[in-house]
Amino acid sequence: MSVPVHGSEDAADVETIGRDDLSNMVDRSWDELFGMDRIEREEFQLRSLRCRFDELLPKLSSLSLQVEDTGISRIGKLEDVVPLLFHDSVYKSYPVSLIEKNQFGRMTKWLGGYTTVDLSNVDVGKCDGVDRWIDTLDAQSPLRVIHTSGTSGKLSFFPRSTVEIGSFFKSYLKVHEGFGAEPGVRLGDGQTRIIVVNPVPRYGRQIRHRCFPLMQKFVAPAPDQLYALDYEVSADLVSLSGRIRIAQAKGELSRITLSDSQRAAMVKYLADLERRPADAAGFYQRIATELRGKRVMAGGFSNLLQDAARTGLERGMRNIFAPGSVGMTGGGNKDGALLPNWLELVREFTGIRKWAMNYGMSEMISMIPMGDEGWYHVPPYVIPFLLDPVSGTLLPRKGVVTGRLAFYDLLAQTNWGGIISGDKVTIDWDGPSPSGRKAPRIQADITRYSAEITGEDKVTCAATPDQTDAALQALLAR
Amino acid sequence: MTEFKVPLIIRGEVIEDYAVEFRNRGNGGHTFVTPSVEKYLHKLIAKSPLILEDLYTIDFNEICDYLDELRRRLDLDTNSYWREAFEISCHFSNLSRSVLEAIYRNSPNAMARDNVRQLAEGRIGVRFLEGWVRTELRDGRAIEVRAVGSRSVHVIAGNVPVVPISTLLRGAITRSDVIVKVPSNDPITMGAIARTMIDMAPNHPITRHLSVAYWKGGDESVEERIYQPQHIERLVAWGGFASIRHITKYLQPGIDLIPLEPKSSTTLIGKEALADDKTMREVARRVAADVGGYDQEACTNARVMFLESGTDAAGIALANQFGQYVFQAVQDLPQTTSGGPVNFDPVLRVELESIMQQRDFYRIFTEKGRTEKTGAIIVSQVSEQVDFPSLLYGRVGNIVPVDRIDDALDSFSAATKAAGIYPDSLRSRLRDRGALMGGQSFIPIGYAISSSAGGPSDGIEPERRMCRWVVDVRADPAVVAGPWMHEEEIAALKNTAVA
Repeated sequence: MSVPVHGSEDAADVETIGRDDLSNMVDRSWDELFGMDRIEREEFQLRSLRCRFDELLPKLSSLSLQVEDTGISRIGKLEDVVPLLFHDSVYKSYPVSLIEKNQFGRMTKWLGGYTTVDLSNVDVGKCDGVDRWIDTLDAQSPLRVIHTSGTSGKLSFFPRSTVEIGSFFKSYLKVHEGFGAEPGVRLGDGQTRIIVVNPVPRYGRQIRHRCFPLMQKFVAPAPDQLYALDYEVSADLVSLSGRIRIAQAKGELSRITLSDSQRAAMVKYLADLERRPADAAGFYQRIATELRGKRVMAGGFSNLLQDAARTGLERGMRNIFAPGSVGMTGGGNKDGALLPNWLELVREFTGIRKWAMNYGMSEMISMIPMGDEGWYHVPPYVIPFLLDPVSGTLLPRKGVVTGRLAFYDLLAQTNWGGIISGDKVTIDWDGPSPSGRKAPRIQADITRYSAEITGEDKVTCAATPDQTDAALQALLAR
Repeated sequence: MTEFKVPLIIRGEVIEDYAVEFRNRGNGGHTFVTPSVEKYLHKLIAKSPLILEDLYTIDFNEICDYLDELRRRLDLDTNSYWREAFEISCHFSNLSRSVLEAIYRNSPNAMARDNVRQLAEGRIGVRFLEGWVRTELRDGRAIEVRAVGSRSVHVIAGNVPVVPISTLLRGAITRSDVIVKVPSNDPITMGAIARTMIDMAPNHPITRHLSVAYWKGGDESVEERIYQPQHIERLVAWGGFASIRHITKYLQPGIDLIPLEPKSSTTLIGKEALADDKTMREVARRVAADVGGYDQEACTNARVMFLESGTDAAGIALANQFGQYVFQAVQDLPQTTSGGPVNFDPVLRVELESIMQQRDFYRIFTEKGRTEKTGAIIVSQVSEQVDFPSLLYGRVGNIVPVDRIDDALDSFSAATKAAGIYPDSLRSRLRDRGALMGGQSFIPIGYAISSSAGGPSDGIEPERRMCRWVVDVRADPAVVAGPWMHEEEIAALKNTAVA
């Protein structure tokens, strides 16, 4: 049975993809999802995983190569999928020179190996950059590519389609729904309307930008009642410094040339970046006045909210939003920017008591909501695994274990949902949850593995990448 | 987890007041304890430059005698300090035991009398070190020049334990006071040398001018006080962008930075290598030594290799064949040259696994499931390097087919340490342009890890720069005109000169 996904589409001439039964799991209640005991949950997961594997194998050349390489052609138990999971970096396994040389036909062919969406008739001949390429795919197919920020080097491209964007949207909002006797509100089906406030750039091709049209359609009372920053995030610009670093490492810096318009765009982008924290802070002050007493869904990075709250409270602004407003936050504690009482400040300023948190990443369609304080609960449509960070071997799925997070995401309908991430997480596999949720739960102090594995304070005579942007600055000054 | 002690050694004194613990989570993890350098800073800092005077009570022959005797004593079978350094290195160095053993057995030979003299003569000139060297000038003046030592700090690299010996050599021949800041990836080898020196000749000036300390790079409580022009004149810094950039903040007039900056090497293989199957296999053996030697932990190793195979289907096929030969030859290297790295970078492993499927772009020769031990040769199927050239370690090389080998010069930069080039005729043809493009040494294929001694390094001459070049001007007013003289006096001088 298929249910069409409403309204995730603007391009009328592109046929959208229907959400299947498995993807519809995201619409079930938390009581149902977190009510399954381990045996029931894992039976469902095994059944669903086999179903995904059987459907996707004939359509994904990347998966059949993986099957060929590993010799795993059958899923007997959940753990059997581990050798078939993709490292997150496969989504940037294209040679970056394809972008430098505008070979987007080859980029499309590369991407085509990871999606069931037929890209063979897409014409990308006129594309002269990543933004144009993604926009062209949008216009000619149901594919909705999202990209990462790419600051460390290459952009990763995840081949989502209209159906996964819709599922992500549902999964993202689902954190506001209550479990058991907890209060909550169901959003995203057009029933409850609420003003959306989120001080991040409005336009772009990352997952949050993909969601904004859906927010306007199914959450905001009217399309103009979505408040965000009026910037566009350009994939070409966010990736430029990373591409320059790669060129530098290859000794190919002289090959990178910028046209006057590219240079101007980059200079503007960097200026925007510098201005953005101030803009976001100013944004909240403005919103506080304009939307005082209104019911909103407020969002933003924790440090931005903290700064807005401190400024607001200094000016005597308190409890600005109406009861029934909800908040969602996360991140923002880089360099210890958060005060111990940041959440209290934010609550006092906004008047919103409950600040929901999700754990997710671009690699994942499902979001993992925080239930017990300090713990994220993994819904049944995500099958988590922990791997040894160095050897990659599977760690036991019981007790409390720390390792590299890998997972199979069953909400992936048109691409393979198996990913090995770079996150270091601790999972409590079967400990009782104070709130009564039955699920493995992930401790909130999630970090990246990179620095830990490579060691510190080592000095070698061999080349290491320059992490400053001196070369970029030189190119811009030309 | 290995645990060991790193004593603080200050000019002949071994301090074992262990107070600080350092944990390194990488490379399997190791912990060591060391005294607080901050506590002993007053001793470590050489307050007066006259501290160097005792080095001038010995002549160059005595320096050679000393180093030659030290070489004899750095014997893996009889010297417990040296043995301990080797055993500890086996636990946390990324070099294999067999390669490490070869290094600990052979590296002291750089201190053999004739090698020391050749180095001092070639890089500086022994007479400049031993006394004032006179040059008569055309106007009747004379200058006398001497290379005198300096007070120096050496922030050394730890990836291959040959750096301690070359650091000691540089200090001894230039008659410098040397403080070595050892790195966390080899905190032990330099100290083992210093302790051997103390046992051998506790009061010898060379012994009394070597200090060895570990502090965490960037510890301002230590660095701000040492890196002052009243305490040091030279700062010899190895290391990556981050460490060099960090050190530059201490630079001020009076401190001369001698940067042994992060480098990588490149390899250019002309079409002659592909002339026939026999030549291909021979060249592949030599290329394999450049890739696999020192387990590819050194900056002189081959990583990205340009091959003039052509980029059409036939050319790519030839490149693949050559790649397979190189991979096989890496496996066949002597254990003392290459034993396979201890730890394989998991980030590189992920990159390799991620491009494994991209057969339109890369062909990877490796032993499936054992890449961490065997390494891999990636042959690009289009004329482009992989996008992670700085991750190429653990005996992983990337062969890039090109149509014209001259085009590979474009990838040279100021960071190009060595260029291995085959055949010799190609080297002769390319070296002038290669030098202008930033290349710093040109070496025959196969000699990447055994080519560094004796010449300039990284495009500079660290030994010369460690010296202060002092000039003594001689002028006799009876011969050389002076600015206090009037025209007639000068004319009279000239007449004298003519007469």
